[in-house]
Amino acid sequence: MHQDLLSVENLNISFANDKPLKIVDNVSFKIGQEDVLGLVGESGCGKTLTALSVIKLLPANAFSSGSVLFKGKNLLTLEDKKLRDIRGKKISMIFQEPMTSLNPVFTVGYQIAEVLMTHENISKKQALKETVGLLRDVRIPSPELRMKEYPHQMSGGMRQRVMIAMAIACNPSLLIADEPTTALDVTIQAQVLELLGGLKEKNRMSILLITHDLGIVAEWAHRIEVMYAGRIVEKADVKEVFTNPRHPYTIGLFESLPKQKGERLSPIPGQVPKMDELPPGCKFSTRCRYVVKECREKEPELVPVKTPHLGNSARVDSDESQRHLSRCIRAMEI
Amino acid sequence: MKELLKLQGVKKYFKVKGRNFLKAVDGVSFSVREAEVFGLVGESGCGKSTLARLILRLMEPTEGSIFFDNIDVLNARGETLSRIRKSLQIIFQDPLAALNPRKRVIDTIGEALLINRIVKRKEVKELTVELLQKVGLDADSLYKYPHEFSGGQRQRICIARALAVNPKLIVADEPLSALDVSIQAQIINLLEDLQKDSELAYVFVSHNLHVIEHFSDIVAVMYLGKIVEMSKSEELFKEPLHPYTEALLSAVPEPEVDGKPRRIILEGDVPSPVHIPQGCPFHPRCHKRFKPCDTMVPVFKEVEKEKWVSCHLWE
Repeated sequence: MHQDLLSVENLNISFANDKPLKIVDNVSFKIGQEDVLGLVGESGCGKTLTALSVIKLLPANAFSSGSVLFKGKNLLTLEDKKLRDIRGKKISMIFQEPMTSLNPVFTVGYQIAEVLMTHENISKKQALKETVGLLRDVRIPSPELRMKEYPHQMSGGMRQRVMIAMAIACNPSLLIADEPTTALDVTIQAQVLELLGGLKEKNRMSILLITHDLGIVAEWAHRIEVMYAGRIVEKADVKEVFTNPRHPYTIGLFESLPKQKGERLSPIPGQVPKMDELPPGCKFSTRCRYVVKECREKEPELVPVKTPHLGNSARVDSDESQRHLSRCIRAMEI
Repeated sequence: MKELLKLQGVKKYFKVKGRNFLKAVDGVSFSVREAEVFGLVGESGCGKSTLARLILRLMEPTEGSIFFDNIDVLNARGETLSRIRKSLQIIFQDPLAALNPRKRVIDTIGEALLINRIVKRKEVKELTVELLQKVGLDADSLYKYPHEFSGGQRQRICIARALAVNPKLIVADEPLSALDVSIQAQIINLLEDLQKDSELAYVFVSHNLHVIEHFSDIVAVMYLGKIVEMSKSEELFKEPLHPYTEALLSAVPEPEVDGKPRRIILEGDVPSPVHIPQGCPFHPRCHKRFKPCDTMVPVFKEVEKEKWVSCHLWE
């Protein structure tokens, strides 16, 4: 069995307002070497907070508990100084909006070199030299010239390439990509995804891919975890979830996608409840078309889906991280 | 079906620094029939939103003509213009920005009803409730402010406001892009129902190809201010003629696990609409460019029945 690179266990994130508000509830997942995990959900489901907590970048009024083990070390309890050796070096992150994530008053070349100078103990001259190579890796034309530009002089696709160059500067083993292409047009998205794919192979990175786009997940991820209202509601390998979804929310997401012309969509009714107004019992029960009385009484656990075509035990006994889990008491009937 | 909207050679140039012009819309012609959905697709900066605004005369075009119901929109004044405005409505991308934060729902929708003298003041409430029901909101919403609603509900309010004047055509400018997938699907169904019930026509502007495919009868693809291809939705998606359309379709990640698509990766970024390349505007990025492309501008013409394209490959 391969060793897990990142293992998040029972992660909880709460905000301390007048009364504490739990946003992420008991989330666990694992990422192995060269693995791509897709974390899927709609806005406000807690997927970005989950990612931020991995590198301890949560806002000051947020508190997390549980454990985030990176190569066996718990990042949540690690002292800041040691964490800095990991963050930006072994784990790096690219954000959705490349304009707000780059500093407008420094050249892009300097911003990339700064990463190298911080982590690699090299001179500025050396760092700038390596920056040229990195910009070439992310296929920015005439890198010697473009590195002297400021972010506002670049297009959205170019800026996202700069972000990627910064993220891969120190050969991280884990890249967290939070909606990396959402702000981009499709043809530019295709360029950036192809680039990321190549770099992943070359640098043998693992990727935690956060997205709401099921198309990107289908193409990219090996495994998928679906989040709703701060909880993981379904997890399995991508193929399994796409061919045999076993949570009403996941099914609803698929049925919300526009398909052939004239085919009526069957969207999920209603809207995501506010985090301080979650229903008792199953959090999806207010919108679920399969809801029964028990759903409203007790919140279901995330449990293995029995796959009849494989026989009950075959799947359940195998490697835990490979199981198909669903947080629904009617998972088998739907 | 009768022709409802007709654009001929519509251009919109903006003056920019120096003596240059930004050619946001550069000679666009098309027509929309009654109860038809005309999908307009393209990437950011291709001029699709500008075009949407030109149709409603929220901006004056630099050149060209626009006819609505055989009335010359650009030269209409007074009574005629307000009659056109009643039949032509728009829904915007960001419903929060499109609603006045200091007005309650009844004021926002009621204003449209009163200004256009559709009902008397005392009947406003009744009709507003009816409109809200049509878009799937209940009467409780009447006295609420925009901030009290979710994104999807706000878009429903905008749709109700557009419906208030009984329009014949609604221009929808990216009405779904601010919404989550599950909410998007609800709004798509709503727009579809409204179209069937009241024989509405739409000009549906979007960058989302799946939505355009699902929704449109006719699709036009824009690139740098021009329509490069236009045909029936099914045919355009099945067999794109223009290399740009082809690349665009191939770039969309499909939510299916079997078989990786053969993807055409375009070179570089979209050029600036201030410095549009010589010849075919798409040629620097085109994977099928050949001799005449960098010098000669291709003509937009009908190469097969109801299939329009501007590409040297089809000349």
